[in-house]
Amino acid sequence: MGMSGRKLAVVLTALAWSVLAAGLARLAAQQSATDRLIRSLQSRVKMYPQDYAGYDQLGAAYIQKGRETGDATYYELAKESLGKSLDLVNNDPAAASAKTHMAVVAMAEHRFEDALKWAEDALALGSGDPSPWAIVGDAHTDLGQYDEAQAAYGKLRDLNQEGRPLSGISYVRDSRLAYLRFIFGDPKSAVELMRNAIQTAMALHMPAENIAWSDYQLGEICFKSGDLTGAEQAYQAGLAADPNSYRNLAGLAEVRTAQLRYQDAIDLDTRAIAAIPYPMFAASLYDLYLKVGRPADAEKQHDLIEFIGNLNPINQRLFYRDLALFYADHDMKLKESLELAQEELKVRQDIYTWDIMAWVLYKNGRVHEAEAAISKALRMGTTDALLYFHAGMIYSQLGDKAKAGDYLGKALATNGQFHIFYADDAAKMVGVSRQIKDGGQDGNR
Amino acid sequence: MQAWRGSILVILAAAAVSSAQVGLLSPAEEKIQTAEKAIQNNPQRYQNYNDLAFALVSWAREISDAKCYSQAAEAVEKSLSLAPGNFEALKAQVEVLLGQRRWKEALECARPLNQRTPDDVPIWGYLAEAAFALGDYDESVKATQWMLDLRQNNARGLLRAAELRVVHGYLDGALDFYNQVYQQVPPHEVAQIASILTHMAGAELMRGRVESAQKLLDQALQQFPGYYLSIETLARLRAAQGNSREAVDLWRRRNQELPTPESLYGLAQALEQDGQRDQAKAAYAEFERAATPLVDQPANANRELVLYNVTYAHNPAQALRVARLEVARRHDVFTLDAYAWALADNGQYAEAKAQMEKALAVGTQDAAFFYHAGVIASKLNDRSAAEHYFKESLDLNSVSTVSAQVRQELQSIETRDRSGQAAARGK
Repeated sequence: MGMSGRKLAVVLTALAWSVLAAGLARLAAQQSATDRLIRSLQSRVKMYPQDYAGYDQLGAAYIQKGRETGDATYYELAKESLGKSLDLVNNDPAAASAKTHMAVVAMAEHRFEDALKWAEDALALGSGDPSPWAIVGDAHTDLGQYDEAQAAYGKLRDLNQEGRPLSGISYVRDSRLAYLRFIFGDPKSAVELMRNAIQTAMALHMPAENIAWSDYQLGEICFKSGDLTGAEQAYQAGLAADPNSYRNLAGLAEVRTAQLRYQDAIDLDTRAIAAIPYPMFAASLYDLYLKVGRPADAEKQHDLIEFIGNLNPINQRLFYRDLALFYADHDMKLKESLELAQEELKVRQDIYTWDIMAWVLYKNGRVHEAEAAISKALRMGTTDALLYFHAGMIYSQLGDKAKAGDYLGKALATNGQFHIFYADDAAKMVGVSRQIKDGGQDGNR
Repeated sequence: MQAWRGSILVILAAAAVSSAQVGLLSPAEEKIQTAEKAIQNNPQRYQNYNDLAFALVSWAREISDAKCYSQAAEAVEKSLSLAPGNFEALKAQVEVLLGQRRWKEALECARPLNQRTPDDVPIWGYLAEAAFALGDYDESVKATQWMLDLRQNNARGLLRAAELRVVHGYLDGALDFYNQVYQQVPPHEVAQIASILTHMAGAELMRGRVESAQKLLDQALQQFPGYYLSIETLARLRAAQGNSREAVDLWRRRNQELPTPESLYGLAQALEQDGQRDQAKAAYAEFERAATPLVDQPANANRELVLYNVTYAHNPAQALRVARLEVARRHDVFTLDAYAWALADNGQYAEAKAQMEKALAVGTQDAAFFYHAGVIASKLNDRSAAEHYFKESLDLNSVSTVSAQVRQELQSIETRDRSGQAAARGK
């Protein structure tokens, strides 16, 4: 790196830190209920150092804080606290909760095999609490073992609430099964299950963050399967539940992009990044700035992505997939994008990791390997316009015009506005001119 | 440290067969390895020795090797030397005592722990297990109820409750509880899954549901190939089906590794049933050699020794001596039944009846109990009671190990009735 490059790096680092600091300062100012809980539990374990349940609850509070802030260092604190709990009680049903929380941390850190092991260890204690099955299912999902995931979710039955639909367990089961139904290519059932889960969450007065997360999941399912109206309603509901829900801000930005309301989308993504500077939010903003002809602003987002993605080893692991996709989408660092995708594939073998692997292989000119990878991504029959688009591009490169046309047509039929750039590309390739009706909420069907 | 390392390696080597059959380490073996590594890394951390002790107890239950309990006891001792009075070590100590069948000592150790931490579910489990083994079923029920009240649907509580339901003759209820636990167990806990399925098969076999038992055992052995308890139960199932040759093969397979006096007795019985007299004689002799030195030990095969002396060795005095020793230790239904059977063999029918009634009062649905009760009633010339018990035995399980004898007894009652009627007509 030359002198100017080094200067630039310093400036950009400062910029990135300022974004991070602004987000964290805002969160600190909020002094959330989680902060108060953490302080109270810290006092409790200081006063009673043999209180295994106190350490477990403190660990859980750190996890919640990590979830709320996206700051991975809270997971380290959680592990430390949970480890102390397990030092005090280990071979006892009472240890199931701490082991389950360890599994949650492992999931958050994308250590899926570890998560599976912790959750199974928790279950092996025979505590009678079926909730670790949710993490067993989640881990299998990320490992691409969908049948095992389905079997695990099937175990989520609250024996004490049998016959009563409104239980925390039914919320967990429905929300998880909804995602699986989507993966299995049944978005209608997925939406129905997710709506059930949200109703249950609201009836049980679950924390706003959980309700907002569920709305976001519903929005994602709707968006990917082409229901922009449903997606918008879900993201808006998520923001009504929790106005700081960065996921829903970013989701709504996606809808606004599809509606060609780019400035609104920029504003929403900017708000999402101010809350949590996730690389994928910055990547969306990067695209938006390019689209509206603001390359200098786009470049700042690019630098932010690089900075966040490489902030520390945990971040590197968490964002392999986002970075790989960003590089591949923008024809940057293609060799590195492949390496990142390969690293991700070592720990996660779900259909979306195979999709990204396929896409980076395609971008690296290894199109036959890309075809093998995209077949794995499509194997469950998932209805997702972006998956179809990637497949279409790969088959086009392979010279299989029929399959290319088929997949590109399916991409547009699923969601005519599935991507800020690729929807146009797909339309051009299949010779379809895009028509935006009703304010852009409905593409070619 | 060297001694620790060596001892664990010996245990792991002993289970090479079971591991090789499965192709992977069992969960208990994995836990032993993890604990061993942790001890290597930090030999001064007492919790590592507790983890090792618990893992060894689990493994002992998987492979039926009493030596593991001694190793576990050493680990507990080491833990307590590093941290005197640490709670987890004291709990592990109770588990070791239970595994070694030292139930009274286990109770004595568990009671103060229960008073210290009355909301600890496993400690209630220890109390329940010890009371169950000693035949104090009411105490066992109370402790088990505490387990389930403190933590609903916990697996240990449900398993204990299932065993209690079996002994009280509520087999459908027992299967329901076993099934609930089965639903909870994660797929990698193959030994636990196999154990539950085998217990379910045992309950089905008690009432002669051979096909259902067979399916459960097939599943158990698929999950955990070579699991000794499944093979033993399968051997009993084959005997019930009249396939004594296969029963012999299964008992032989069972006894290839770590045979117990009880499993040697099983083989001898199967050989006898198969008509292999010389082989049976040798097997019974081997059983007697193994079981006799253990007569005064907590882990013994006294109930089998009583039955052996009654049915094969025809040594009533020895049968009664052993039965009295055992009944002084515990009065569970199986010991009471063996005692009653020994008393009957010694012509003490009234006392035999009293002991048999105590056993039957619990409600256990065991075809052999009803057979023994029928024979005792018959000896006391209570024809109607005898007939009632024999019919109960057959109604419960038409293919039990005693079903042939029961049919014979019923036939002789009928023959006696006919002779009596003929004699009456002749007069």
